[in-house]
Amino acid sequence: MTTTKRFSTLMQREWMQHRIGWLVVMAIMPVLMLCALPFDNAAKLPPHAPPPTIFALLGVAIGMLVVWGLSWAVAMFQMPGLARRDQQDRSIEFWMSLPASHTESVAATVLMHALLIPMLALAVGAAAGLVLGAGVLVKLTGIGALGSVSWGAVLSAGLVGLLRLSFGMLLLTLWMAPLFMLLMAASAWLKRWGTPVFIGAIIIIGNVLDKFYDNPIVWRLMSAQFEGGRKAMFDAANTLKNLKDESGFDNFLSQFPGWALQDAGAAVQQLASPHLVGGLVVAAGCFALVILNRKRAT
Amino acid sequence: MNNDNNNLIEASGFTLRYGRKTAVDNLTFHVPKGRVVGLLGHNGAGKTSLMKAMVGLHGGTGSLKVLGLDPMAQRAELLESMSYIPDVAVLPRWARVHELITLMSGLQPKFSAERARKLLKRTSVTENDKVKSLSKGMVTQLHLALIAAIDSKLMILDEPTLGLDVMSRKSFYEMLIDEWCDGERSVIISTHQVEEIESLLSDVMMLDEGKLVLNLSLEEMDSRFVALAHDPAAADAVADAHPLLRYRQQGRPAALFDGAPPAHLDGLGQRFRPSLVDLFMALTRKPEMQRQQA
Repeated sequence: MTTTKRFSTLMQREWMQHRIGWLVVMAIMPVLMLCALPFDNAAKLPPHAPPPTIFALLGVAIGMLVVWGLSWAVAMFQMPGLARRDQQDRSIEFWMSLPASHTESVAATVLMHALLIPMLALAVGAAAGLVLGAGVLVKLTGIGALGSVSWGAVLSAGLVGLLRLSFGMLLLTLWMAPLFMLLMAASAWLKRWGTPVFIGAIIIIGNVLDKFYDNPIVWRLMSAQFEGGRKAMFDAANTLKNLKDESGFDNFLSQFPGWALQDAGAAVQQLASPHLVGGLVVAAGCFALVILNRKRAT
Repeated sequence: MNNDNNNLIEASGFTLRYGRKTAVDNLTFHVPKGRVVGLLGHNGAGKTSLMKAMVGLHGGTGSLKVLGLDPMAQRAELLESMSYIPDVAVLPRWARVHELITLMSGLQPKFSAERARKLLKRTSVTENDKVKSLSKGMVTQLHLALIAAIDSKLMILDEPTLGLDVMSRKSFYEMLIDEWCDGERSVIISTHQVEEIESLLSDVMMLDEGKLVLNLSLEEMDSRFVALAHDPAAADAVADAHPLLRYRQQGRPAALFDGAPPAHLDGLGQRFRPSLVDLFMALTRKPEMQRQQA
């Protein structure tokens, strides 16, 4: 049996165990918004509203942002608890009776929760946003508005945006890895005290260094990680605004794929950062601590 | 146990420690193919530690080879070729039975989903059942059906029927013997329910405080150990012969000897075959015997 098959089975296990929760989190906002749509009778199209095609594209963007944002937040919230999940339900003995290593098991968990499910949420959000955008257009301007939307342009721009954000999600995971792996390691070793101790330690150490030694290194490091993550996700070189200002809505769609490609390149360039490398070293150390704790549990 | 070139397990001077505590002390033994071995011992005797060492979950000093592999260094490779039930109630409670079959198919190369489904038909468990909805006995049956569907040469069962009622225990062992043991495969079972599995075993290993105090086949046990039921009046004469254990058998005093009792006792009682439980009591209670075996 290949390592690939074993690893994909471990990822399938994550899907089996968490799929209901994940799907509920992904579906809840679109479903609520769709349900609320028919009842909002006061809504009217603003006087300087963008063209219908851009309007529909905004729906896709908002859908992706909302569904991804909620799913990613929930996934990050869950990550610390995953470090001891199999010990807590005693199933670790079962998993360890099968030919899969601790490293494979933990890696599959992290990969699914931190990367693949948020990526799936982006796709679900895009699809839901498309439906919601169309629904809002119909609500505001009538069914005829759907005919004035260039759906081909919306779909191609939406797909480009989805690809850019999915790639950004990969880079964001690298930037955020030290934070969620620190939380996982803390939870693995300190159990329920892990997260509060970690957060408390960051606040205390950060403030002590900042206030008493005039050294805000903790805040700077964290700020660098979050800023790196934000740029990795979208608009790495802060050029989106220029694109819109220079070309207007009409040319925006045609120039968007080229911009997205350049933006992805800029995000990759920003990986050459000591903050990222240092963070990944910390994350790797925390990963090893989670594995060590798991080994001791058996 | 007979020496054999086809040993599935070979241990030589194997010792396992947790800090200062010695869990398994200088064990030397081998398990050939086609045997059903009972691993007996009191709580804390080292049974689970030894079994975990056999599946690569704990390392020790000395030599331990399972299926010709080093369990610690070649754990993944080893687990592809053996079946292991670590304890009862360790199946993930969120999973449905068909999901477990899917997962086992992906993780265990010698697992047959078709055979697992066939084995499940012997039980009252259905493929759509969730583990958390099953009784303890049903979970154990399910676990056995899953690991018996692995085409392996060796199965290791650590207290597989702990906490189960007598019907569930009987069903478990029936399935094990009927569906898995074929004369080529070997099973090592650790249990406290000695009397229930005695008829299934071909060999017995007894651990006491980490030491192997007995390791022999049941045929050898029958020829080596002799019990003598006697009248109360003969108690002093029997005691003078230093039996391993003095106890009561069907209301009569009895004594258990390692080897034939002295000839002068033959007329004082009737010989009979000692049970495994009596032998277990004798060997794990008697310090002289333990020192001799060690």
